[in-house]
Amino acid sequence: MSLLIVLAAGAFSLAQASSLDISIKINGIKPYPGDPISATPRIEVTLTSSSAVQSAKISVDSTSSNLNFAATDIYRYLATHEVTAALTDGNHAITIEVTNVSNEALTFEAMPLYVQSAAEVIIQGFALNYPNPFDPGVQSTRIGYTLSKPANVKLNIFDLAGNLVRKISFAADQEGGRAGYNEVSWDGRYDGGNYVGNGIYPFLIIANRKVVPNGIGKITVFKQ
Amino acid sequence: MIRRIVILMVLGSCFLSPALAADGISLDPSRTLFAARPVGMGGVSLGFSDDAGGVFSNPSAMIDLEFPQLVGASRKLLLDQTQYTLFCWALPTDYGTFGFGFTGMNIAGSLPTKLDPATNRIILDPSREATSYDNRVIAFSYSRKVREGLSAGGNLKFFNQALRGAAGSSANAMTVDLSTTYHPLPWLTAAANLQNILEGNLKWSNGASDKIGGFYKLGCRLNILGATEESLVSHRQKLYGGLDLDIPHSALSSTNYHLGVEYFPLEKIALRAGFNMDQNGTGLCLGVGLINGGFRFDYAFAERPGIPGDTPHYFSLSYLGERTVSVSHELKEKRPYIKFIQPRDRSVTDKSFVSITAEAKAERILDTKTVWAVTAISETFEVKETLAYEDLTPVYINGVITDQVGTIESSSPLGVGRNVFEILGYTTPEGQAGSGEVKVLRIVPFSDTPISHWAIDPIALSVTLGLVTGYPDNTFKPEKGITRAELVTLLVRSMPVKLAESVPSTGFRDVPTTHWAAKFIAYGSYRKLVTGYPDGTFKPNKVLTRAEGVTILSRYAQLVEKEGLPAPFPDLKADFWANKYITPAKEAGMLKYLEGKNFEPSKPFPRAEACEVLYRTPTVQRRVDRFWETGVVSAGTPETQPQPQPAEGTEVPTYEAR
Repeated sequence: MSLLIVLAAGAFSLAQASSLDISIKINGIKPYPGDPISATPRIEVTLTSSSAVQSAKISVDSTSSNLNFAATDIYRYLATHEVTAALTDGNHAITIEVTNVSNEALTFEAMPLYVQSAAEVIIQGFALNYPNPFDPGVQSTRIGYTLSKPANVKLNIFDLAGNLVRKISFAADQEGGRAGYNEVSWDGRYDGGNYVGNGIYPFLIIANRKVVPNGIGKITVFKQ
Repeated sequence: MIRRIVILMVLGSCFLSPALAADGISLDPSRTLFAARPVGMGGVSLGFSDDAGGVFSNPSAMIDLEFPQLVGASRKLLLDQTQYTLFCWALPTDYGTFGFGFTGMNIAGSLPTKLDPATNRIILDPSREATSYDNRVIAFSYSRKVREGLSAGGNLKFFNQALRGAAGSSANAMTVDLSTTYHPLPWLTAAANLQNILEGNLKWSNGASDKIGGFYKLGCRLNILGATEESLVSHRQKLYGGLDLDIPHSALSSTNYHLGVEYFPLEKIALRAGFNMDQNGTGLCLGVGLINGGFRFDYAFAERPGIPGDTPHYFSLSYLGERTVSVSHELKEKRPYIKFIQPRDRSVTDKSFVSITAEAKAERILDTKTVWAVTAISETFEVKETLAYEDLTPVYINGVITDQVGTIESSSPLGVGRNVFEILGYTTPEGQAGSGEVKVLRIVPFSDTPISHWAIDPIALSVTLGLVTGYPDNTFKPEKGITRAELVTLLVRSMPVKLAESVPSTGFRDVPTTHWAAKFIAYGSYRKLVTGYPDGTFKPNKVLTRAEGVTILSRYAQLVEKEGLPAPFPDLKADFWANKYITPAKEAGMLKYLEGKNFEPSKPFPRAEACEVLYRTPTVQRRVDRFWETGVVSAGTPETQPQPQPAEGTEVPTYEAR
């Protein structure tokens, strides 16, 4: 018996055999429809299968390649595919087709994912933090933002007067600087180690010595 | 005392800091003043707190304020995320300088979030209200001079912070700043401001607590150029340099440096530049200040490292005060006048021409109002009468118009005798008139009496009035001792009497009726101006001594005899017989020519002196005045000539002549 994965436009979906499952990460980030990706994405495919893989193929748009899964655990296989020829700017689709020795087949399709290389990096949506407000003594706050392209990024957190409270840098290939959704955390401390007081602390996401469009957020610190 | 307090507070602060380190550190909104003047100088402020901004930056530097001061600024900070407001006011008094300051910051729009259950990503939580935050401080400052070159100050600061929205809470705190300013050298100022030395503890209404962060600020200022002795180099332009160092306490980590200069190419224009080095990085700052009417407008351009795209423009407006003096005049009255500079009025000359110089002007009597004002603060005024002058025009000299104005210069021939010159001037052709007259007597001097003779005026006028005559050889013999006959003649001629040509007996056997002075001697004897000798003689040719001459003239002037007074001249004894005549003559001003000299009573009484003394008598002065004013030389209405003829055999009264 085989089931076919069907992907509706604008969302990832699959029809799966009872023992087959696929998930992917692009440059370490789980993609969602509409996410930006790097022009040369590194795609990690994790396959859950009750039996060994018989054949596997990955297609980026119309270019197909074989996937070589390696077992990492019982029923768990991992394959990595690197796109060496830079993808053009625009929407792209990634399709993965897997058949195991039990003759179970699975097709996974992720689209649309878009590549933006020519324009400056931007942030899709808002740069937000969670929890907000947050209590530095109890928790950290996660600052999430979706970069349109990889970039070396600085996260500068300020007090109301614009005095730098904390500065964190991220390389383009690290969490915080990758294309797509990034999440970093701040523990509510100054660079010197002391906690900040209650209040609102604006932060800026800076790339190429400019504030990334939509790269301004405000963190509320509220100790309970 | 102040030093002890400072030391104790510093030590106390050192012990308190670690103990409170577990709390969060909250921003003091007055830590950095975003007024354009300090911003334009890279944040240097300690040595430049000579305006109201000193309430926060260094109260001790405000002791030399002359007027109340204001500083205000309002702008958006941090890419327009924060609204910043600054207002400072300082009031110098006899008891020190008091100040009030407010600094506030607020921000809104911190959005509550939640996790998307499908993606586990952060999304907005529209069910909760966005958070806003206010952070405000008000300060009350005071500063005063401790001794010459040293001042101390401080402020009491009250903080209020509030979170509203998804997080709702508020907190208050109080801290103290202490500051001092010291001038070790005239051109060097050293200052310190220990900010938040008490480390205010913010107690939030939900039970949390924070501390107010602060810095120990040290700074200096150099007066590099300037026109006063307080400058390193004397120059008409001014240049100041400053350096501030911010040493953090209360667990803040960054040590900041500020370096700046302020240059006055003109008195009311300041150019500024500086470097600001803080936790954000190092930034170049530029600024300009324009001063007018007691107000100063400041602008600064300062990019803040770490905040790319931040608006680099800063503005502030300050009231510095300016003392102004304005003077206005209101014409009260005009008084035209003619003032002759030459010739002197009633002067005697032997010249045939005279140069005339006169001022033809009008005194303008003005109500002059002087107003002393301090812009927008106070005004006092004083009104007093002042004089100004304007030229008269047109001007007439003896009825002939002249085109000269102001100082009139002319010349005119002089006839022998009295000459009158009149100048008439008008403020406008139909306006007020002023006039002046000068009279000049031209004489043909005697050959032995030049115009420079000390007694030329009395001699000339005595001759002109017919009181005395010269000799046929055109001499006057001014130094010749005057005889009794000559003096009597002189006196009688000065009197308003017309003597008959025929003379009866004089009563003196040595003065026959044919004597040239018989009629004068007869009348003088009759009027008891003179007396004869016991032997019935008059001794008309006897030369009078000075004492005798003055005695006769004193009697002639009908002066009251004064006895028992100190001797009127140093060489006269107190019991000198003629003192009673000499003293009143001196008091009447008849002996001015002997001022400071000895009297020398036995010296012959010369003709010149006789003219001088007679000239000073009131009777003759009246005739002289009338002559100058009218040109009349006669003695006036003559008396009926008396006939002092003693009867035959009648005893002739005898007097002791002196």
